[in-house]
Amino acid sequence: MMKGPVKILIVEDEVFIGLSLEAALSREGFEITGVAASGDEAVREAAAASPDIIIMDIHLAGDMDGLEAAAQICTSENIPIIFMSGYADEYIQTKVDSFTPVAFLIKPVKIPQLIQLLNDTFALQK
Amino acid sequence: MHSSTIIGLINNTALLLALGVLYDTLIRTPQKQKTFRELITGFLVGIAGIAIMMNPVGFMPGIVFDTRSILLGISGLFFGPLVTLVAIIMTGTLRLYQGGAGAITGTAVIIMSGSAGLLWSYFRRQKIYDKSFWELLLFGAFVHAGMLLLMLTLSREAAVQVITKLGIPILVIYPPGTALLGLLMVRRYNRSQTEEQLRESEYHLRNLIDNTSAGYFHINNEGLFSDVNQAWLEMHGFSSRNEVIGKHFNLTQVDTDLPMADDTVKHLMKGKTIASAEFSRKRKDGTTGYHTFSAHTVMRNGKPEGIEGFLIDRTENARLQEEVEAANIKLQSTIADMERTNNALNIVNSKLFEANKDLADSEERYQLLFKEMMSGFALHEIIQDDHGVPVDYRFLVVNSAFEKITGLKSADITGKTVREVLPDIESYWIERYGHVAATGAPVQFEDYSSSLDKYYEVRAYSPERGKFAVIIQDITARKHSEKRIENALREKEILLRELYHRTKNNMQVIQSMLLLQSIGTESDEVKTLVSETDMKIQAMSLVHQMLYQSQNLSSINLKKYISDLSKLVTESTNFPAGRVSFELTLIDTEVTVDIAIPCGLVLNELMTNTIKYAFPEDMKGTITISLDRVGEKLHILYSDNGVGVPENFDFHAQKSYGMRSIFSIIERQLQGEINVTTGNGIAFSIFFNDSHYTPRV
Repeated sequence: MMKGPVKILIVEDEVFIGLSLEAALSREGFEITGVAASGDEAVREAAAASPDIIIMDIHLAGDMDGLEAAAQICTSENIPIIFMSGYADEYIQTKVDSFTPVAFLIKPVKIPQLIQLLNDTFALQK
Repeated sequence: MHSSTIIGLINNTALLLALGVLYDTLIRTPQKQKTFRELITGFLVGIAGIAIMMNPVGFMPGIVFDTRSILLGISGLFFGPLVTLVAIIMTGTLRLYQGGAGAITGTAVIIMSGSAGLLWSYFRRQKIYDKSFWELLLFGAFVHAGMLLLMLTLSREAAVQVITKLGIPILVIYPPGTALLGLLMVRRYNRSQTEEQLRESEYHLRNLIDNTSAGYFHINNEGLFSDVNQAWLEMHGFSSRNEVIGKHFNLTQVDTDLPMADDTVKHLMKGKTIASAEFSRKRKDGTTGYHTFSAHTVMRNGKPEGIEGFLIDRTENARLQEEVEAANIKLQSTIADMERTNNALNIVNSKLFEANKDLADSEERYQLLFKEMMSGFALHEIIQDDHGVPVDYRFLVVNSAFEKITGLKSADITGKTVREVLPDIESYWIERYGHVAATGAPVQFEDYSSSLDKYYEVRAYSPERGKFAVIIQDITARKHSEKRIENALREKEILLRELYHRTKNNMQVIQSMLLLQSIGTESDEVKTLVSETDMKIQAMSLVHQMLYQSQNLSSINLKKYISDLSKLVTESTNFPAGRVSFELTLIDTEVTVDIAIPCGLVLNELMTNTIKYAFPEDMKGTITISLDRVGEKLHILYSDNGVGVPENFDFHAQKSYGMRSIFSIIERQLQGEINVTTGNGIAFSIFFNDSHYTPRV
């Protein structure tokens, strides 16, 4: 059973996209534990805040991309992940599938669609 | 001289003549039994001598005379040593046996006479037939002079008596006797020689007649055959002389020739001659033959005894002549043909000469071309292992361009194998060439030789089984250029994709900015503005996303774009799900970004307006979009089944930005046309030329 709002970690290197997601989801009642711009930051934030779900962009600033960050997070935490990316070739699709994610969204992410997805995911647990 | 002396001399003479008969016998004895014959002859001469000595002329007691000296002298002269020796022994023995005063002298006369004949014959070395009467007379005088000298061996008294009384008679009678007997011997010899020659001549003539291929005949004076030879029998088809001999010559005459044959025979029988002529003959089987006939009269004792002659068969000649004539006609025809052929050949020859000259020129040109051609040329023979797998090849000839292109000098590689020259050569070169040499199928390919660090364009063919020729060009520079272009293209593709990606991302950032700006405002106008702008950005962003994902980076599939855009619009508006449905009938067509974005903006505007205005309250509706090509133009028909617009609604007069932009984009940017139909809903018919813009990348 969930206690309190759903905690979401947003991992997005584009600041305005990250901010707009944060604003839109906050308005819907979700708790944004942070907006990380790099893989390292994402790993640290995930460990520190223990979010209920992570919205993870694949292309990130720094040496570590979203897939590597997800791999590290998954070794210690069992946190569901929604991946998003501007493109999806076969290689990326295969990599993403190996994490058994909640979803893989192609950018630009439609906010209503994302909210619907989050609500559906956590409604089962509520 | 006493009568007894005369009788004795006659007896002696008769005995000497017998010697002539003996000589006849001797010379006819076969030559093979010479020694035996001579012993016999010697014995007979000895017998004759004994007979002579038994009829002596008594001179005084113990002293007798006879003609033994003549006998033994002639024997030595004509019969030779063995005969004479035998005769001397026999007669000498008898004389010694008779004894008396003259025994020794008489024996000495015997030995002297025989020896004188032998010595005379030995020293004169003459042929028998050359001995003349005078020589024989001289010989007789010589022998009997010797005999008289031997009388001196008698007692003085007896010797005086003999010489005085018998000296003259002996020298007068005995030498001519010796000469006459010798002459008789010579003549008998000559006659026997002549007879022998005649016999031989007759033998040869008969032999000739029997064996000649000419037919011989003899007809007697009654016109009857008396002789024919084997050839004649064969020519006439008879098997035996008995069938012909005694028959009239008409037997072999062709009936039509009989008068002429009679005339000819009669003519010859008169001792006249005829010239050789062609005659026909009737053979035993009735067939006719042809021959050349020659004949002459056979004379005996000056009178015609018959005729004889020869026939030379011409039957085969006649047949051959016919054949020759036929062949001659054929030959003439052949010669005529040959002349025609010759003329044709001369023409061909002159053409060949010209062609040869052209060929020589051509060959010279090819040699020059071979040397000067820019492409490398090389001829090789393939080398296979025991299983027929190509494992190497040998350089046979290369041109100067080949040397230049490969850097391999002809002098260094001709006769060597490629593995000797380039030990590290890739095996696929040998495999390819092996296939060409084995199958004769030419190949053309481009490949890299690591041994020479160059790219080559190769055309290989097989001029004969087991060999292959290559024409090569160094394409290293071109390959490097191609690589550079390829790299540049790849780089451009990467850059373009990155550009599209970044454009799309930037648009997303702009969307996010607009979203952030609108958060917190309560103004519906601002919210609507942000929402509509966001939708327009999404429509454009979708084009860039599709471009990024496309293969050629310059065009997208308009069917997929319209389909995706319709979903995007549905998802992005707050319109309740299920109230609007889409019916899409779209052709597959590719359009450039310059067409896709304006199209997308127009359709986005139309779809947004429909959703906003066409289905008020809870009304459900359908948006229908069809895409088709009419001529060179694309035709988009957009319609909805909504409430439509009021009558006399002037779309062009609308001042809203959205509606104005639709007309502007179609009519001005796309240089197309747009027609609006209202009634049951609203319909926009849009035409534009999609080749208005050319691809920019």
